[in-house]
Amino acid sequence: MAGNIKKLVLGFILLGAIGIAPRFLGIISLNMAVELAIGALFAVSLNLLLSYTGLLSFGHALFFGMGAYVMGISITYMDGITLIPAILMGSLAAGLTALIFTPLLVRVTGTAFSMLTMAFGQLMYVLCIKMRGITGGEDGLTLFDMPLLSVPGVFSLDMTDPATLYYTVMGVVLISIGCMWYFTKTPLGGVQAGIRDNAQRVEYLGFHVSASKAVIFIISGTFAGLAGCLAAIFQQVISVDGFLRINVSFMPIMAIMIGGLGHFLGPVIGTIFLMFLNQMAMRYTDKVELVFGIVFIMVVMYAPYGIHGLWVKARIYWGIFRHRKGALGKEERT
Amino acid sequence: MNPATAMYIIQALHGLAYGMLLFLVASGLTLIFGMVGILNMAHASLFMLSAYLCYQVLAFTNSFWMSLFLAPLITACLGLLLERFFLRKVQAHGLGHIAELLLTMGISMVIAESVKSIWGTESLVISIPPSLDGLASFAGIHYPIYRLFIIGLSFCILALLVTVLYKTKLGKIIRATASDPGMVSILGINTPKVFAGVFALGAWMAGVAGVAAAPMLTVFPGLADQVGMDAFVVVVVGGLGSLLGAFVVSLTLGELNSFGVQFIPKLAPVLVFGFMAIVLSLKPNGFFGEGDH
Amino acid sequence: MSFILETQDLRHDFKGMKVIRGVDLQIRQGERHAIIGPNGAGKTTLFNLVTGMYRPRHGHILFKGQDVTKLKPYKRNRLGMGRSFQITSLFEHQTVFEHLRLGILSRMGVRYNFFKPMTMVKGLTEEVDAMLARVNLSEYRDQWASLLSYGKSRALEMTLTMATNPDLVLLDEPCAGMSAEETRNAVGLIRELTTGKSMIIVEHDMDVVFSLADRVTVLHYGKILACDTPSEIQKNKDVKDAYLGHGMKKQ
Ligand SMILES: Nc1ncnc2c1ncn2[C@@H]1O[C@H](COP(=O)(O)OP(=O)(O)OP(=O)(O)O)[C@@H](O)[C@H]1O
Ligand SMILES: [Mg+2]
Repeated sequence: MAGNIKKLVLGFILLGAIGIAPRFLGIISLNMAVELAIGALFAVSLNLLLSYTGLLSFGHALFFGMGAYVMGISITYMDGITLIPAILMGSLAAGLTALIFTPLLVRVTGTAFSMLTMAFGQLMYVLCIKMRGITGGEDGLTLFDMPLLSVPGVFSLDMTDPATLYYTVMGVVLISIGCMWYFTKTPLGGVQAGIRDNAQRVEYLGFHVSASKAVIFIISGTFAGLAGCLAAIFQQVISVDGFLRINVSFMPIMAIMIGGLGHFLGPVIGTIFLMFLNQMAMRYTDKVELVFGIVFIMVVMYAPYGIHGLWVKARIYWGIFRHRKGALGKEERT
Repeated sequence: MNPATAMYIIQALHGLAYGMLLFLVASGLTLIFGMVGILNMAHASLFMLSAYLCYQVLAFTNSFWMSLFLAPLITACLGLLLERFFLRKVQAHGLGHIAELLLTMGISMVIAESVKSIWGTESLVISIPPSLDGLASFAGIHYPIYRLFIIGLSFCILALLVTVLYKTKLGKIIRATASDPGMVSILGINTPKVFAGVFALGAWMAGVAGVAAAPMLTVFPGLADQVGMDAFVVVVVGGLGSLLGAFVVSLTLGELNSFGVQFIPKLAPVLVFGFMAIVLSLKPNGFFGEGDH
Repeated sequence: MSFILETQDLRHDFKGMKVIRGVDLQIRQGERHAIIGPNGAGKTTLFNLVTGMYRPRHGHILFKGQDVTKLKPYKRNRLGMGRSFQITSLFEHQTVFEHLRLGILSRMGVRYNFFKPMTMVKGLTEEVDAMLARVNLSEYRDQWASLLSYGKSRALEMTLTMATNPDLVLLDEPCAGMSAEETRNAVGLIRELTTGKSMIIVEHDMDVVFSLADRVTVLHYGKILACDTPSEIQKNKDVKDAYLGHGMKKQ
């Protein structure tokens, strides 16, 4: 209980910090915070698959891009559309894409799953380049007039104003991450964890494994699509390279691994770390991706459970140090 | 000969040349997967690295044959190091194949970036060796000798591979290890060494493909992505771990590419993935796949 | 029909290797039935066919009078069939409590709910805790299953199978590798958990077999050699031959 109260207090402090941040942050930092929040949402949606169902998707950009493109296309081609229906269309389109692919994807596991998702991601990448008429091909779509985020007669928000964008994105991201966290606590969330550890046993307990996987896949895809919509609103340009390339799929995987596989907020920590690393690397070298690659290899090799894993380990060692003063220090278990 | 027929034959040969190159890359990939269950995401990067090494050796020695000998050898050594000092280390993490997939993904990133910083982002021109330059003429068809050379070379390596796998004791061990590593090691055979050997063999074949491809394709830092994607499609569609599947699908993809570019140039890249999507909707584990690993 | 499970001329092979060669098994309602046989006789394969892991090449499986030959494992479970595994099959990263919670959720029919947190599913926590108490695992409630001792993890394996409250349970060598004391505890647990249910047990330990079973089936190279009461089986000459190795000579 004491732990819960501590967490609650910490949460409120964090919420407060997010709330008053725009008063102290400059526009650059504010934009960074927005980017970070979007990246975190994307990574958490992927984590639902990776940490909670044991499925490594190499093609999550598919849903991210789907959300962004459908939103962008509806804004570009439908006159007078406001942002809320456009975002809804984007996210639902991403969910629908997931639904279309599930009959195939639930039949494979392990490496085959990773390869299949990667291949579908590439398919969408190539298709988007080829369908120049709708998607703008390699040039992408530029959202010149960003519609208002409004409910007529109730409120109306202008997304080109940095502070408004910041609050909106933060709100949407926090609520979405909250929803996904809640999901992991529901019975279906429990079934997911079972599938991750031992799908066969779950099936023998009377759960329809494929159907359960399909549901989580759709939920994950929808939230990835939502992240894509937010990213499109933020960047105002939707390009194949920024939204559908394989690197876009790799980013959240890196965030999860660095933050800590198996931990709900791991990807958030990882995204923050990557952002920070990016800033540092850019200051000293122009080989940012090289630095990313090396850090990533180090993490997989020496800290497979990421920052969270290191933290847990450190606490164990600290405990041993305090209680036994080095007498029996070898029996650590992770 | 009727020009239309000649055109078909030339396109078919183009397809065969690319298909065989693809097979050299994909066969290593699928062989390693069959044995260790690792899909080496850095495999195509080794292929690309070998193409760059070919350029470097050419610059030093001016001999294509020297680079055909040296570059794959260096690549094979790199593959060996990769297996010994990286992949083998993560197998104890208990993350299953996720750790291996991610590790090789990270390595492919590092190779791509290193290539960019050493050789730059511009594409390099590697000329066809004089002895293989020019056109061969037969039955009224004129066809580049170099591409015929690639086809011949690939078939030689294929023959070598099949001989090693099916006719030698080592091949027997490799195939037995692939189906039951525990049993083979109980019998007193050093399985890690066999794994390492297969890894090196796969890297060597990718290396040969890299050198062979260097004068034919453009050598640029995106080469790994370009060929790698096709190789992954081959391995996935052929069935992870199936050599026969890799062979059949490589050739199919080669032809699909070649005729696709000729007849529907706009849709050629989509064609490959469309093909894959159709096959996988019918058989999620690929043509010759055996279920999940 | 008083049979809860019936197989009719069941056959299965792995790449041509005939493992089950025409098995007709009849399990009565409420009986404790043991299947014995030498290693590789096909006992586990028979379980896999009955519970739906493989589709048999030939023959039918009737469960409670219904043809289930083509049903997936989860459907057979929902009809009231449960199984445990020869090789302990648990969830590595979950506590003992979380294991049983999954089983009880399935029993309650709460399978796709993603609106209500598990802590708010009525009666769930209480049922799990009651089950834990019943099998003496309460003290391990919040421990990871991967850290349990062998005997305890086997007990959890069995309890998890029973958590979905099946009418017919198939236990695959529940006591293999246990010490004498662990075996005694396990037999007690099996008795406790399967009262009023039908059970098929595969077991090499003859003491266990003869103390638990109402009838015994001897499986030998994929065929039923004998099926009778334990005392008759002990006298059966064919069975003795099979176990003493006369049957092996044909190989
Ligand atoms: N999935 C499989 N693929 C190929 N062969 C199999 C498979 N499962 C079992 N077998 C083979 O079928 C035969 C019967 O195996 P099974 O596991 O059913 O025997 P068992 O009676 O349970 O033996 P044990 O007492 O050792 O558990 C064995 O020869 C085994 O090698
Ligand atoms: Mg068995």
